[in-house]
Amino acid sequence: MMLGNESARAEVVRWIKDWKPGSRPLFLIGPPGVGKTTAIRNMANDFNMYVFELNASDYRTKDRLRELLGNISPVNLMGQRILVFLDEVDGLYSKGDAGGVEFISEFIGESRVPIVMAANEEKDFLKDIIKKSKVVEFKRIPAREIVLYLKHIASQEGLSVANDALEGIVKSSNNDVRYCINQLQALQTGAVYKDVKYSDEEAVSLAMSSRQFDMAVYYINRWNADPERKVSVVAATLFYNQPPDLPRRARWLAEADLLLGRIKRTQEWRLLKYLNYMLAEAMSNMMGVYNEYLIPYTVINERWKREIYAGITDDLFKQVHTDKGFVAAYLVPLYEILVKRGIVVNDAVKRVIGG
Amino acid sequence: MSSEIMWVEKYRPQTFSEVANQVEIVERLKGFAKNPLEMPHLLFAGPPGTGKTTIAFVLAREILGENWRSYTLELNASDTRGIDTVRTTIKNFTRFVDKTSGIPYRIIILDEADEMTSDAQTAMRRIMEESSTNARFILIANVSSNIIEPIQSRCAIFRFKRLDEDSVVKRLNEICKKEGVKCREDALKFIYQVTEGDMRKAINQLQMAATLGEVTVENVKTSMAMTRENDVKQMIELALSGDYRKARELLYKLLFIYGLPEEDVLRLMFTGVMGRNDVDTAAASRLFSEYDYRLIQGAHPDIQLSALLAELQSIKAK
Repeated sequence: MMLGNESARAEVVRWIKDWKPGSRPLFLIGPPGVGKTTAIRNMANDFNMYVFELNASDYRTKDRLRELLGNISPVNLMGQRILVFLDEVDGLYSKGDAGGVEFISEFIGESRVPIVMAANEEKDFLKDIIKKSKVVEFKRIPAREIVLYLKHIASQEGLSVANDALEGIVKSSNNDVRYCINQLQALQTGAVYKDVKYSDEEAVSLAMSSRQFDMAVYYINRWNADPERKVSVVAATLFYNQPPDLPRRARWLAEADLLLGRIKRTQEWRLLKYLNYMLAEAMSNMMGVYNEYLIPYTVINERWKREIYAGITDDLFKQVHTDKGFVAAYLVPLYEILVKRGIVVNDAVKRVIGG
Repeated sequence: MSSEIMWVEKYRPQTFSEVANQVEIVERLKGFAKNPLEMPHLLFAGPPGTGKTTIAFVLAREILGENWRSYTLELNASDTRGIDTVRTTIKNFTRFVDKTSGIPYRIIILDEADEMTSDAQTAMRRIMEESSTNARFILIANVSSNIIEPIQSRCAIFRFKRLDEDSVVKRLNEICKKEGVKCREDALKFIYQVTEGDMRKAINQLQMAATLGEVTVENVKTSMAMTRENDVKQMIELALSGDYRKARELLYKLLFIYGLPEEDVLRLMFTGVMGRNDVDTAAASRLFSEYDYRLIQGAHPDIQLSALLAELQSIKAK
């Protein structure tokens, strides 16, 4: 079942039905999550075509594209017709994809296979390509329709979700259907609560004053912040207050941070469900006040020195064949003395060391 | 600012005859300098400040001549050296050699090669094999076991030893003479003791002390208090005595103001902790091994180090 953009989808189908060698390629334009990619995949499915897809995750330089598409055959080994789908072409204009745009512009003029491109925006560098293509615009889906759709999914999955929660999701999504479905799923696994009530300060204060671990978990779960922010604020509060059992709590925090690092690296977001428990263990049942600044304020006051030290470290590093750690730990202090003694003149450094 | 100001660079030996130590290694390398085509890829392993980088440069100069810099690629841990660098920068550098220039091959010096990921190392092994007509690698590592086996087997391994007191003191003496600095023999011996056979640190400490006047034990001690190593020691003292707030301020000063790499702070902390007699060293090694791992794998290195600082309390000797 697909949502919205009926006439655009009909145009897509008409285009493929009429396609013959020499026909114009198809260019889909529209905001994220309105069904461009899905429309193409469904169409290919209906016509038993094989989709050869390249998106922003692939290297798309001129040479790479020529290698992949230059001699592409119209039919694959299974006898299916091949459809080339270049998704996210508005992401092409970067150094990493040098010459990609020019190649596509040439390629679409002489292709023996149907080509579809998709983009969120009509970027300037795409002008030439767009001129040679049949353009179909996909529009945002009305909020009301998305809510109905989410309700349908929820009932299929046996989930009961309040209406206002669904409306909240759609509102915050900018009518991006994919985002809404992800959020709905997140609700179900308990990882993210979009219908949340607690700000950073409320969530942390309530978690600290929770005598029971379960209550702390409850507040951290309903804390409206991304995991990155949660770890950082819990750390700031914990280190600022220094409760008597700090070592034990610090260990839980370090575990949570380790987990977060692993999730970010592996993109295994399912692991996120454990994070809130660890943070709750670090926070629950503790005397203290909310604090969100990880860097102690005495150090923040000296932050103007940071750039000066970075400058000397870089300069010395370029001249001395050794690692940055040695430069920062041993050579920079020596340089400071040389400046202090007037052997080397450097006013910025003089200001830093107060000489 | 010129590198001549920094003695560690000013007094870096430029030729084999100036290299005062690692006699056996130098002798073997001289042979390669005479017959460059017989030289395999090399792996220099050994503790810091024992001459690995210096000797690699000397060798490159001997083999490539005057314009050696144009034919040498030097990369250390502070450069990005992920798999991308291997596939692009290194691969391109080894692609051809300028035969008209009269050099036998190009040389790639990879400092701290043991800090490269095993992915990057794996990507390198084919390049090492296929480029042997165009290039030689000199890999430099503190611990050779962190270099993956297939690479070790493609290299001649040279193990650098910690420098002995005589050769370090002799070198420091020479430098003092050239600089016209007065020094006491006991002060130079003291520098050797505190820098544990690391020539780079020793020369740097000598220069710091010399800026205070005559090089005496007293001045060496005063100058030692000025390095960040000393800040780290102070931070540990504060953390163990229960002044966590001050300890953490110092930590952020080191990271955020002075710009020390997090791994270096961890390493200095470990050395500092192990040098004390009021901690359980077995417990300390376990604690640091955990945090070493977390520092690399976690999301926020500064949070990890703050947590480690908080946990130091738990390794006090009973």
